[in-house]
Amino acid sequence: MNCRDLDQLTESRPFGALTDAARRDAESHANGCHHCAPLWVAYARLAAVRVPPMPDELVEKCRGLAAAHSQGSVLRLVPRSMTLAVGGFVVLAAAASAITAHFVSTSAPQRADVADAPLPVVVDPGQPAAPPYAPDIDLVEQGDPDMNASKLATVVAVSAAAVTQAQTPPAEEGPRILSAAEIIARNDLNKDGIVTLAEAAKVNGRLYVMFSSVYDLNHDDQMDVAELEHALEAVEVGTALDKITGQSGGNMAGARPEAIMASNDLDKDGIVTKEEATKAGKALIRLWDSYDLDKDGRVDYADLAKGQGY
Amino acid sequence: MPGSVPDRFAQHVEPHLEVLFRVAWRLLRNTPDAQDLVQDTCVVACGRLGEVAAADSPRRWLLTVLHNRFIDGQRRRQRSPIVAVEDSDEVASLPSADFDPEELLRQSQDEQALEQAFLQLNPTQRTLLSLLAEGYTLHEIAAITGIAHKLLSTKLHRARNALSQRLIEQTSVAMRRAGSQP
Repeated sequence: MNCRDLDQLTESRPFGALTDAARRDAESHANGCHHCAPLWVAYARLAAVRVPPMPDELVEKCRGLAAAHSQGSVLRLVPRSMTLAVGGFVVLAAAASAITAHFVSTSAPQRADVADAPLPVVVDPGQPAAPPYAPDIDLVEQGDPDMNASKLATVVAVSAAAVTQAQTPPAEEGPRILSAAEIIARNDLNKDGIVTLAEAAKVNGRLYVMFSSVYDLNHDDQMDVAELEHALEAVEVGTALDKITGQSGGNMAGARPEAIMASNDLDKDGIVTKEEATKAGKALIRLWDSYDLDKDGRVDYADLAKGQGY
Repeated sequence: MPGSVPDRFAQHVEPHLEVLFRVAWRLLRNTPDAQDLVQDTCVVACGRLGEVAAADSPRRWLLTVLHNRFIDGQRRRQRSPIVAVEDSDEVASLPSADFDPEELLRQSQDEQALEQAFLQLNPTQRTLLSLLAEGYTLHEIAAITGIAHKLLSTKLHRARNALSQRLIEQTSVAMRRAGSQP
């Protein structure tokens, strides 16, 4: 046996499939060959690894997944990444409940304080203008059964407004780049944390167009936050398009608006004119009509962001 | 109607769970992560039971998904799943009676060196070597990983070279450590 024979033998057959004679031949060659000795050792050790038996509970967990799926909920029973996400949601829900409970417990006794503070007015379009908040509470406190629903609705609305206000970031000027989590949340119709190709097609045509070529790195027709983050991150640093798509140049799919702006806005005034795009000679000019939707011969950041599906 | 999801799952996926787990464990070298990977694969399979049933080889179909999820997970994590030796299943299962302690120690060190070397390989190399060690043919490995058959031999050769190189490095590190101990 020579080095080539040993190479072929170890690449074409698993260790367990070697006959005793073949194994002896290989060992005797490897023992005297500087090149083959480490390869043979690695091969033999890899083959000798003892895989532990499958835990019994894994079958049950997988059956549970199938059962959950049949009920319309893709519930992952164990994966720890999902556990963290669910944990975060539970914490948020608990915070919302606490705020609601706080309003319920403090609204009546602290009526004077409540009256001092500006509170949102809940308007029911089917009814005349809603009475002020404090009298509502008064009537409820006096036991008017018709007002219970009103009180509950008011308290819930105020709580929800408070929670929403606390969670909503301050309004920003101009279009905002969505994070991977936000893009997933927008497109995840069944809220299972995974956006499928079908969901992307329903929600956002551009995301759908870029789905397979850019974002869906493993081509399994679905993506989660981590996968999208990875794709966006790679695109953002500018090295990615080639790596991800295997294409080079001229493809704007997945490019960040900033990158397109940077490569086309020659006078750096924040606006790309058709002349600039022509001079720059990038992909933008070929797709100009897709971005210059108002046909004014200029494309600004908002147009680019919109055109790229952000 | 072809039957309920649990029924079809039991028919088409369950028979391959053991195989999935074995490959997943070889890739990740620890049981909890291997279980997660198998479950991730099952989540995908549950949504595509029709494809699984229609596939020429459901096992190959499932292994392809497992491979994709593994590559995806590795890109995501960028960390090595290192398991404490005392928690390791194989160490716990080593025979204790009539066993030479020096031999036991050497074997344990060999396994650790192999694990460290293996986990330093890139995900594709790990997949190739794991499938080969599990007894899959080159043709099957090409179908599972989507790597062209002509490229596969080259990649496999590089993977084996990379593993042996890292194994040498690990072994020399271990020897230096042993030599530096009082």
